Amino acid sequence: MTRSGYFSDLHDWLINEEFTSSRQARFHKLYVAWLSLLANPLALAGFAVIGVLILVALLAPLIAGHDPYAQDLAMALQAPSAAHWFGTDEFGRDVFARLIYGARTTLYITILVTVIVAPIGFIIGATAGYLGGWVDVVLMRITDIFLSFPSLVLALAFSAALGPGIENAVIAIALTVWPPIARLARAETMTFRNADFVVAAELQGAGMGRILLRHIVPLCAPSIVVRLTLNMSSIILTAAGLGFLGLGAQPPMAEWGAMAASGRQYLLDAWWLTTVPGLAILTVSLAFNLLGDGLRDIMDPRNG
Amino acid sequence: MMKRKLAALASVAILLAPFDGARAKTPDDQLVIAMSMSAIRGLDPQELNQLEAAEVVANLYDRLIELSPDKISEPKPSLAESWTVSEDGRTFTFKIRSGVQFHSGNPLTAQDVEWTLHRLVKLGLAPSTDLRQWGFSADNVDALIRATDESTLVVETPKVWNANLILYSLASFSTSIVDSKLLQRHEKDGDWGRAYLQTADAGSGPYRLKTWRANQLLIADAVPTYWRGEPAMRRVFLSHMPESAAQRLQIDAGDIDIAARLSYTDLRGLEAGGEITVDKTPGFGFYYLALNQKDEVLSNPKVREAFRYLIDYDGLSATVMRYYGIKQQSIIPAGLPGAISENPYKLDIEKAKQLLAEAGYPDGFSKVYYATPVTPEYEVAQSLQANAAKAGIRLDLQGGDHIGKFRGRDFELFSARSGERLPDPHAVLQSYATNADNSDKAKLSGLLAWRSAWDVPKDIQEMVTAAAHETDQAKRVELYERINRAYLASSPALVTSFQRTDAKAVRKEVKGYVGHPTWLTRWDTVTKSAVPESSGSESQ
Amino acid sequence: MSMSQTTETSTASPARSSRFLAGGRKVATSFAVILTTLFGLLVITFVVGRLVPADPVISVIGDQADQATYDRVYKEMGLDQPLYVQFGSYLSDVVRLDLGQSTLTKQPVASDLARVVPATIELATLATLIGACFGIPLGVVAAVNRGTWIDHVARVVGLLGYSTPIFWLGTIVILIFYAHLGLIPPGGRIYIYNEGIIDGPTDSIIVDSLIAGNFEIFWSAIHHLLAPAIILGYAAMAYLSRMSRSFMLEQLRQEYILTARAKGLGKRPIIWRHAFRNIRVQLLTVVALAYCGLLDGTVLIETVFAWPGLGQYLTSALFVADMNAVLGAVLLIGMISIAINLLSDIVYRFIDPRTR
Repeated sequence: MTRSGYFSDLHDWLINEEFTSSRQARFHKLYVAWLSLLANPLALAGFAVIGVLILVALLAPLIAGHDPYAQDLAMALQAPSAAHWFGTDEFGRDVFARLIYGARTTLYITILVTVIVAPIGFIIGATAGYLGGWVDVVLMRITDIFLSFPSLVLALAFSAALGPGIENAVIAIALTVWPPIARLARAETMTFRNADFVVAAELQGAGMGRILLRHIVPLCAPSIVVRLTLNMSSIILTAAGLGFLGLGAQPPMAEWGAMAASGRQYLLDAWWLTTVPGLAILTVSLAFNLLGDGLRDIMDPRNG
Repeated sequence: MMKRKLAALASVAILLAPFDGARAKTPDDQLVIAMSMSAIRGLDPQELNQLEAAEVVANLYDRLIELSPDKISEPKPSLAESWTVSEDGRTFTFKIRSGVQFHSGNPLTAQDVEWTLHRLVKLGLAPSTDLRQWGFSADNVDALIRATDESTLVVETPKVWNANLILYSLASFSTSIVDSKLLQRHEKDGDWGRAYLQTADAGSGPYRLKTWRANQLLIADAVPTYWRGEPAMRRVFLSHMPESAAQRLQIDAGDIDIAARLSYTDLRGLEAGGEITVDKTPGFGFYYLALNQKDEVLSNPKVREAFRYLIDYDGLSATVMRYYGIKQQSIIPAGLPGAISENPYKLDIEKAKQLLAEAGYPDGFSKVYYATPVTPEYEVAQSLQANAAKAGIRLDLQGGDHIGKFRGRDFELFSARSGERLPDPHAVLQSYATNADNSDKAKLSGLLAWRSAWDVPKDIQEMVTAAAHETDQAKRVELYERINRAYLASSPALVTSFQRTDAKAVRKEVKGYVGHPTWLTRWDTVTKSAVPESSGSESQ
Repeated sequence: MSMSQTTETSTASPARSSRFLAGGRKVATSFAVILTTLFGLLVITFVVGRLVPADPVISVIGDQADQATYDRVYKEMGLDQPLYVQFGSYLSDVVRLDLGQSTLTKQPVASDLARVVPATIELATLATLIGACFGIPLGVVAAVNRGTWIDHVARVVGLLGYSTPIFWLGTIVILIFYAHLGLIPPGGRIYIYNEGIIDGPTDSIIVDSLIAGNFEIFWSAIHHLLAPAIILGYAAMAYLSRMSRSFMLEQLRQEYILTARAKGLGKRPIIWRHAFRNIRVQLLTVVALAYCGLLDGTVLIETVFAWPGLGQYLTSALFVADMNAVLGAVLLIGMISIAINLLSDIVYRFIDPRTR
């Protein structure tokens, strides 16, 4: 690999462990992580797939080629062809276009769940770990209650109760995803609870909120990010499972789980209807797992 | 080491041993029917109200009158050997067949018939409409329906009705004769044995209930001493199989004999295969769209009219509805008196847009649309959703069990399919075209017109009542035709698009399984011609 | 499959909960823990039940009943009572094992559950066995060959198991192996026309057919069980291989392994006699957790394979707003999970020499 002078300087600055600033230290950490990611082909592949997914979701209207919602019953259930790469569905809609738009739905669900779950899980876990005592007992009891249900069953029950629809599915999934985050945040917080810098901050009169935000969050963040990345695949699969059972996205929205489910009705004459979205779910969820797995190796080399 | 090898051998044996059984066929003296059983919620004939359960009850019980599927409007004797109608048309006297036994061994008498009909009216559950609509009530039924001796039953109607309406009612599954002695023994707190009968059989029909596991399996065994003769099928299985592809695969392989819930592509595929016939039974009901008239936008006649132009009748006919319905925009089902074959509407987005503009909604509007996520109803709903979008109407389609909201008038748009149990226009019109009191308080929640809050034009309502009382058949037919045209012209709040047909795939070797328009398909007429194993594959 | 994440985090629980068992008051405390968890379960199921949008009365009386009937049934079902009264009666009913009547089956939910659970147990047990038989060796081999292509293959195989939508895999398997190859039966526990021949004491067809000596039905039942069990087993395998790999890595780093190696002991004996021996207890608890996680997978796979177990009972009850049945099934699944977690805690505590 040939490097121009600028990049070579940058590399040297990033890799150098005699930091001149905390900024350099932080960049160094990220850079090293990036290098280890490059060294892990599986994780890199996962990273690439996710990159493609995001790109596809962003550029959906440009890539799709067809309107994912335009029906044409005369063109129903056409096999894959040059005009319709992945064929058409029971309403004559272009499956490729729906697959592309489905990427948006998938990202929408995963991002929304993550955005809901990360702060809630962190606050509950960190509060329990920081305060200890009966607060810890009560919060962890609640966490355990939620954990004692298999996650799909719980999501199923909640989304049935809230009614079908993608927002309700997001809430239902979020309800099943936060407990592991809370546990992790609690464990991490407890390790730092009595660290010198926390005690020092306390002596200076900093409140709990400030300590959690300023000191605990940065320390917990990496492991929570890994956990969340690994959770993405579970979120995607749960969402698809709900869609399969008719509880997730509602028509005409393109959602991979619901597409695979409604395609089952036509399985024998139109195999592509179920196969294609199923493969998409598999690919994306595998990508998140590979990336998460790789990230964990980087963070916790003992397991790698 | 030796042990490990043995274990490996054993596991291979387990994997291979049963392979030869993988493609078995159903035995020649047993019938396997696959269907979605999730709607079967109990087997009490005086309580249930649903097609699949009705088919079971049709075979566990007998009724006074029989309507054969090929001549549906001709009442024929069954448990009633004969009957007479008085001059004034109000008193029906039935002679009950003697020598018939219930499955319990109790003899069937006129007292059982009396008890059954009283039970139906007094329990007052959904199917009690079959008698209540003629004016029978808990207060008068004791006096009006009575057994005068072991083998004579007298039925007096409160008013004069067309005699056929009464006779049809006595052929409905809801008037299946139950074993009064058995049920009285199982009675709890004056419940007429209702708790017991949910999962039991108190009938005299050709089959007795052996096992019923909800949403899974029902087994019925033939009654050798049945009064019409022993059925050929020794045992009948109903299997819960909600998936079309699964049904198709299994009927193709001969693992099941009859499949009752297939998608149109699977039906088409099976029909083309040649080993299976598709039995299409016309039903007396419709695929309908209900527009809530309490809604300001939807109560505009031009908006209602616009929806008639947003249904892709022909596109759906060729695809999703190919086996499940016949295009029908008027209100009297084909095959009944007064039916007409005119279908003036077609998919026309421009026309719909124009009507919306005339109504004052040139930019359309947004509404919530409830539908049930089953084939073909959901496909029909999604097709409407897409066409409405082109005309500017944004429908937020929500799949699920919304019938409760529909009953409570708490909806904007709702679509489903209806089914009626009497082979007479009155049954349909009563629900679609009468609404005596449109106030919320009236709670006429059994009527589709009331649920849609549609104040049906008075002249139509009056004609419907007059036709039901009319005893002259020719005049009735004429009246029904007038009603039919008036209804079509009224841009109704209940938009009918397809007359329902119930399609079932039946293997060629099964004979005598004839779909019944009022849900009384019989199993005791079924026979299987033993087809040699090889002939099936040769014929392809 | 989604079980993976839950169970993986649950592995934290033995260590955590075992602290509850540590002190003198351990029995009382753990009893209290179970009680509060159970109470929490009940609150959740109750709340979910009241939130369900479909009208429970309609599902009892049907679509066309008149208003008077509706009002009467509404009262009969106690729906006119205030919520806390309804919860109270729910609690006292559950304590008496009265989970109410299912509107779908018209049977007591408790007896329904007793009827469907054996089917799920058959499935989950075989799946766990398959998962353990293939997953544990895979994990051990991967750990021993850490960083080589074997490890990578094992990792991808494992992650694939985590990532496959199980309902989709089931569908594809039926399409290929039943429709095209005719190698597996179409679904269900036995052929439909074999139903009603064996009415055994346990409701497990495998056991009952053996008792009755009907080997044709026994083989048929095994044959029907294979495909769904293998698919579920794959998901369990993925989890178990990853857990055993990480346990094994832990062991291989230990001092004694290095010593043994220095002493010139062969590779095989070191791995199997020493390292593996030490992770057996950990593995036992993980297998228990995998079993627990499979309850999740059964919901979907039972739907695909028409397997008449707990999962299918739950989903079909959900769709018809059969609240009692839904609550009962969810409650039972929650309780099974608690029981398995507890059991694995106890096993961990009393068998593992280090915690004794």
